[in-house]
Amino acid sequence: MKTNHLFPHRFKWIGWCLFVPFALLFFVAPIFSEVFDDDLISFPTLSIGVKALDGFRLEGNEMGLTAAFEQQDMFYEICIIAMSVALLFIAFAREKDEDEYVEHLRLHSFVWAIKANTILLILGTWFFFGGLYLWFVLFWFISLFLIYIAKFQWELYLFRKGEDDEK
Amino acid sequence: MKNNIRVERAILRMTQQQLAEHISVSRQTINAIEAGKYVPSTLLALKMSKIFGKPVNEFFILEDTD
Repeated sequence: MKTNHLFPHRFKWIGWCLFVPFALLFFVAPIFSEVFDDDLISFPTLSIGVKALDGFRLEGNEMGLTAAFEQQDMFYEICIIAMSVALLFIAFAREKDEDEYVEHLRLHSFVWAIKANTILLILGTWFFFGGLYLWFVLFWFISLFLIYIAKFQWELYLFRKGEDDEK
Repeated sequence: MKNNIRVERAILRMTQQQLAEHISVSRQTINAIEAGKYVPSTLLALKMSKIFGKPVNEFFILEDTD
């Protein structure tokens, strides 16, 4: 059966080539903040925010969202977007021996990854507060893909080394 | 559900690999189907039916628990 919702096989390697450098930049940058500052890349863009951190709850003039076209530091934003696209490529690139059983493994791994990631969300929401929670939510989005990729590749490994019953 | 694919293959003197190539799946998929670990799609079942020259319900058999 031909499946058409997957990327070609080479997208797996394009994905890794994109993910590794941007993930390194993203996680190394805070350590060398004098070298890699968020304003390393900066340009005007549509910027949506709230007037105050608790903006949704305030009354009168303080309430509501703001939207403006203004200069923003985009280094982290670009890293996050590149990592997301890369992970999407890796996760949904066609395997060389893709068939309906491999699709079955994909579904199984995806359900498993969503369950595992939901447990992470519950733990993170319960224990992380303040700025750390923002970082956690970001990590949580990436971890969904990472858990899925790890689980799927493990299932594939077990599937491919499956014993040959004919011998 | 149980199946007699292994028997049907033996009648045709066909290996898992050869059957897999005929119906465009991997050998491991045939292995998983024979072991009862995976129930194939109707499409794959019909392709097997064509190769074995028998109706699908002669090599896929429903059990009482199904």
